[in-house]
Amino acid sequence: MTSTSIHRLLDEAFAGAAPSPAIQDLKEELRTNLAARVDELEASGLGADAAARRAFDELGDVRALIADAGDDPMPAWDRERVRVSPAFVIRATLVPIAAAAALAVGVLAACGVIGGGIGLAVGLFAVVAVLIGVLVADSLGQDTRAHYAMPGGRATGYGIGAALTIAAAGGFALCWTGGPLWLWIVAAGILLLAGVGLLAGLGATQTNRAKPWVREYSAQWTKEFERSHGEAWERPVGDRFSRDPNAAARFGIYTMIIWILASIAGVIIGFNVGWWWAGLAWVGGFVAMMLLLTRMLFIPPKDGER
Amino acid sequence: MTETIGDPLAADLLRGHTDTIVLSVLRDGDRYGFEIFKTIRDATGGAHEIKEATLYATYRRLEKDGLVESYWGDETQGGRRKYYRITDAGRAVYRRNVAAWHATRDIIDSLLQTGK
Repeated sequence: MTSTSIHRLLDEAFAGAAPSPAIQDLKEELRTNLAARVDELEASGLGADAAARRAFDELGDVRALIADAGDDPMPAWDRERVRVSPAFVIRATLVPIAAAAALAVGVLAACGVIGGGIGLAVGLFAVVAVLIGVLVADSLGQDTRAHYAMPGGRATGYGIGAALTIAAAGGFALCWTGGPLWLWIVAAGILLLAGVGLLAGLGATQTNRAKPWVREYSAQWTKEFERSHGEAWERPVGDRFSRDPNAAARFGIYTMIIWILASIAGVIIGFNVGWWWAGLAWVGGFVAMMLLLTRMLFIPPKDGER
Repeated sequence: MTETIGDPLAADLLRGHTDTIVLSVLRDGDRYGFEIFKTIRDATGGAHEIKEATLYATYRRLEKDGLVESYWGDETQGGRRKYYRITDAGRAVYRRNVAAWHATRDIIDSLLQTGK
């Protein structure tokens, strides 16, 4: 169990330092290293606070370190430079080749040029979808800015979204091969719904709010506001969309997705149940859009969200 | 003269080779700051240690010179760890510095007549 003291000691040491990415990186690095040392000292029998104090004292001249990081002898462009990963280059080359080969053989099988039939074509289209998904997730997972790569789960989510969408395209392509038409349309429709829904959800929640330096900057800004104004900062009241253009943009994207999905659902219902019932999909889309509007425009944002 | 690792002379000598020592530690694999510190401390039997603040300055210098590169590891209980990895340039500089140290050690040994 790590003492909270190291966080307080670090905050004291870094008080007044500009919250630049370099300073923030240094603070985070010191934090985890101090935590490791505190664990070691606590294991040897020292109390939590004493361990934190001793670990901090052992660091040496932290002020000089902060001043050094603040000067940052390394130019910003060099710090942010993306280092080439040879393993990624090899994967990014081989995966598309494999996907293209699988797609070509899959098309030949679907057209009956080679044996294997629709079963082989479906299998190979699934392989293509998975390979493209892997490529997307792998690319997004690469460290592309300030040493904070996209979290693995989110990158994988994008990969799965891409794979589902590609698989849906394969499903629609199979409509021209004969066989049960309704099966291809329903399967492709479900894959497309899932893929687009997942990608839209990931896209709409893509922010840097959780990055350490953003949190730190936000906390410092709030503290500074309270110090200079003598009162706690409160989010200004009023129309959320005019206050937060990002929320308005998100609403626009959600609306577009709702109508695309409603249209697809309408076509599927039209083909399978009857065109008189297809209108229900659009009614559902309208209801979903109004609920979304109510939720996004009037519900107050969560604490800590800016 | 009896040498103990705690001598100011020995401490100065060690400090002068901090860059090479850190490169040497990283040759065995990627490490985060406290691991590097601990490896050095344990290698000297705990009798001597290079201050952590000195090591941080060293990491920054080595990174600036392209001899090591850093990346953030997975989340732990205390936050994310910053790992360091030696580059090919770092390995070359390490080999050159070790060769230079051996040559210097031989010269000093023969000058002080302790070598034979």
